[in-house]
Amino acid sequence: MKLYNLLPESASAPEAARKRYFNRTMWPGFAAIGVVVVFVNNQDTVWAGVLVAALIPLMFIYLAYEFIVLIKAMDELQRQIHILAIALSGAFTALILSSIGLSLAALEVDLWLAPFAFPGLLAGYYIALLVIAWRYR
Amino acid sequence: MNNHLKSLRGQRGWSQAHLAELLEVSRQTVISIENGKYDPSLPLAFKIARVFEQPIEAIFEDDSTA
Repeated sequence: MKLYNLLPESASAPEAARKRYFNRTMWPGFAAIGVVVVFVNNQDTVWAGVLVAALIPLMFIYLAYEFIVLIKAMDELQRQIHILAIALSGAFTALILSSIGLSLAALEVDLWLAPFAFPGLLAGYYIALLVIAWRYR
Repeated sequence: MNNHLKSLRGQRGWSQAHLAELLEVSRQTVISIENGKYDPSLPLAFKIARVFEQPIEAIFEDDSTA
């Protein structure tokens, strides 16, 4: 199984989009993981906190930009699948996190749910991609 | 919507990958159109008609008229 087959509906994406995905989306992703590893190993220092605080918004802006470029490089069916997947994932993530948040508030449990929003969105996006792409097979 | 994409492609001896290349779409999109799982947009339908040198109505037909 080729690595790019892990992302549904990207295996047959145009060559330029695949190359771009590898060169400009995956490698910065690995770099971001590297930053997190550095941060975990230097949690007591001020500079690590400043570095991560500065990089996190930049990373999200960069990811959003790359996502738009990837979507624009796809054909109409792939674009439809991806946009539907992200829309469904956003709606379900918001619904689930809001439900959990309200339930926890009612139980007076203090849990900060914000860090779960983006991973939840990505997980939902991936699952939605698999399901929607399967429906078009 | 029904279509005759598969038979037209077969008549020309084209692979799905070749047709996808001519239409500038992914192979999966060609498969989905051929299987009737996806109805192409009007611009793509016109492109398909140009590639096969046929009028659109010779390639696609509405379910109600089939």
